[in-house]
Amino acid sequence: MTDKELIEKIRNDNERAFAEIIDKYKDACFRVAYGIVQDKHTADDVVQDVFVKFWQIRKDFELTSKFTTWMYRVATNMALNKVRKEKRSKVFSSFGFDDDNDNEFENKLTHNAEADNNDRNEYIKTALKTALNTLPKKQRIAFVLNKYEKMSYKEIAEVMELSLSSVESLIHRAKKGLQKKLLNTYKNI
Amino acid sequence: MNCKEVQNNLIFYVDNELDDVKKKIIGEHLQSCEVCREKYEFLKNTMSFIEEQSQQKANPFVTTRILAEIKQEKRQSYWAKVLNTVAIAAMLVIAVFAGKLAADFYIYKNQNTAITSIETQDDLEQYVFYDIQSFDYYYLNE
Repeated sequence: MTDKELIEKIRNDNERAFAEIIDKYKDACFRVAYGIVQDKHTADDVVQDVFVKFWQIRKDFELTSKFTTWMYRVATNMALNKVRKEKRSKVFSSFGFDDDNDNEFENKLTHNAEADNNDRNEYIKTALKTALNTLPKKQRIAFVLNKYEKMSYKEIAEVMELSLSSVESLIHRAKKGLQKKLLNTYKNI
Repeated sequence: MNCKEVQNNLIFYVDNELDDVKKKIIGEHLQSCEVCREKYEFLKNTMSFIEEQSQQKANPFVTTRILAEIKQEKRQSYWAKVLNTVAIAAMLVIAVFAGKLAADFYIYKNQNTAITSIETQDDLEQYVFYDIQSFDYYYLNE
């Protein structure tokens, strides 16, 4: 069944069609959310929120719209909101904590390097999460859609409503930014 | 190319996005420079890690969880509708009751005014509750 056929059924409250569309796209939605939040449980929560949101707006969903485009947009926004909330709660939970990303970055890595110098994967995971968090929003979304969801620049341009050249530039800058941050980290090991 | 120039291009080298000339120069530099090679290895591992992460799948129970959540929302919205109807009905009853009270009070107040201000038959005829005969009888017998 095509997405349009499924959506038409979902608009008529068909739960079986809804379950089918979830099964079809939950992993794609998860990958994008994971790329941004870098945490399995939070990414699963984002998947759940995205599809519940879709059910709530099903009657207003335009049949001319592409479901995946809508899904990627909502998933990236919800994931970014989770990251923002996480950052805010960290600031509130540690009185006097400096919210400067660089400090957070160094603190975590120093701690990790001391605590478990041999666990490279854990180290890379922390370094990557922190480096991704320092990227500007649009660069992060473009990079994640490209690397985690293997989307072409053209598809990313459609989701982000940008020109192809803007997407190319965003991904290029994202890679440069990540490289700079990761290599700075490497100096600290 | 010096170390700084090489390190500025490492991520693109890892992603195989450089032209053949740059690729060759950086490849040769990495063979001879241990510092750059280590950094290259680190970036390569990080990009491989992203590749591994991109193979991950959502929780297999997520569909069940979503369906359960929308069922619960449906139930909640049903009770919300019931409560809304009950609340509207209660408000209507209260409004009707208050209206009746206000009307009764208005009538009672007007009746009292009428009794105190009746002096002529013309005055009396302005009121709904009157009895011409008893009025005449009252004045004739007075």
